[in-house]
Amino acid sequence: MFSRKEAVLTDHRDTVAELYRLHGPAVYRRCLRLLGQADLARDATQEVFVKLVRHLDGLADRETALPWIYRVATNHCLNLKRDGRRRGEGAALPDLDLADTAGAEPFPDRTLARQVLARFDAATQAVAVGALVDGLDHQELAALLGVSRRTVARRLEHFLDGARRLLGGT
Amino acid sequence: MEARCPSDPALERHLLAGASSPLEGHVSACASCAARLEAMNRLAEAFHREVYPATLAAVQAAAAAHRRERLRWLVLGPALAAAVAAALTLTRLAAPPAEDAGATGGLGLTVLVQEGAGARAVRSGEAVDAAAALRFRIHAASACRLWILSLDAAGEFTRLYPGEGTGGAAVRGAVEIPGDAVLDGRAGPARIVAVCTPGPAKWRALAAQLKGTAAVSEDFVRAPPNAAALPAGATLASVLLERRS
Repeated sequence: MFSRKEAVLTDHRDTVAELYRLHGPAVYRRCLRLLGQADLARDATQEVFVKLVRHLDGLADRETALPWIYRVATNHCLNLKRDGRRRGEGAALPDLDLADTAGAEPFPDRTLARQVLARFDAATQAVAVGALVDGLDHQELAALLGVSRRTVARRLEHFLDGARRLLGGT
Repeated sequence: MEARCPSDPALERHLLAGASSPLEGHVSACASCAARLEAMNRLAEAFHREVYPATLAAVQAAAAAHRRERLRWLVLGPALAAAVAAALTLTRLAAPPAEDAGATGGLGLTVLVQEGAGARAVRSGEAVDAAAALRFRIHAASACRLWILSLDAAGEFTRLYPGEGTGGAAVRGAVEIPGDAVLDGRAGPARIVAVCTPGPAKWRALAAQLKGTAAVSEDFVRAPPNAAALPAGATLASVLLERRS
């Protein structure tokens, strides 16, 4: 029979396993979307979830868990892309295709090059990927990132201005 | 059917919600969304087949290690025997932060440090042993939902009480908090913050409101908490501890 302490620890392990089973697929899909390689996505999924389980109650709340997962996974994977760490595989990470719904955005290319993305701070990167790659409208993106629509618009404008200069566009 | 298909995050919510999803009507009639969901389910199967079994142990080990670290701060156990003296430090919201001031009829927090067989109340700003065991006593003038948090010099809030649940502990009047919190042995300032809200509130949201956009520093920990950032009707009390090793 478990002692009380052991039972508590066992419950904790079970809770972690259950939450990982429930939310792991969303993390994995997000990481695969941004990293493009299954092995990198697998490692990133583990790393992201290690960050998430530091706050188990946040994962247990289904209403707020997904936006939080989106933010943590996006930032983590963009950091991986930016830093190019992980056994030198960063250099081989693919560029990101723009979403069809992002066609209205005045971006001068159909892909978002890693080198262009890496020129911007993490918050701006998250907005650019959300708007251009995920095709999210400003309202949904603001809710996911926990910022105002105005902040989304301002950061996207900042990104587009800079990207056009980098790409030699207008 | 909506003109525009839902985003990937919206489809993630749809998968999590199951039959109760508000998108059910759209996705059941949309071939494009059906194909996207099928692809998402394939990736979920790949996760469960390849990723989950290969990484679960590492995730559980990391979670357990983090939990042990937290438990160095908070060692929940049976309620200990009666305490000794108390020092109330009260701050009432909606008024300028009168941190660590006398009773105002809102919320009172007493921090007791274990010394030998007894305990003594700590004055705000007082030096305590960096590995001291602390206990807490609360006085809530009216019924509210209580969180006791700690703020360390890195600017991180940690939940001390209640250890489980999401809305805070229902309290009213004088309450001895069960269990004790053991400081982690590191020197530097730490602040114990009690927040009581009229209804259930998430501690992480309260911590974020208290933290705001302030730069994290020891000065931030030593400064009175920005009680005005909390929801209307919330009351706050805090005690600053100067940990000495």
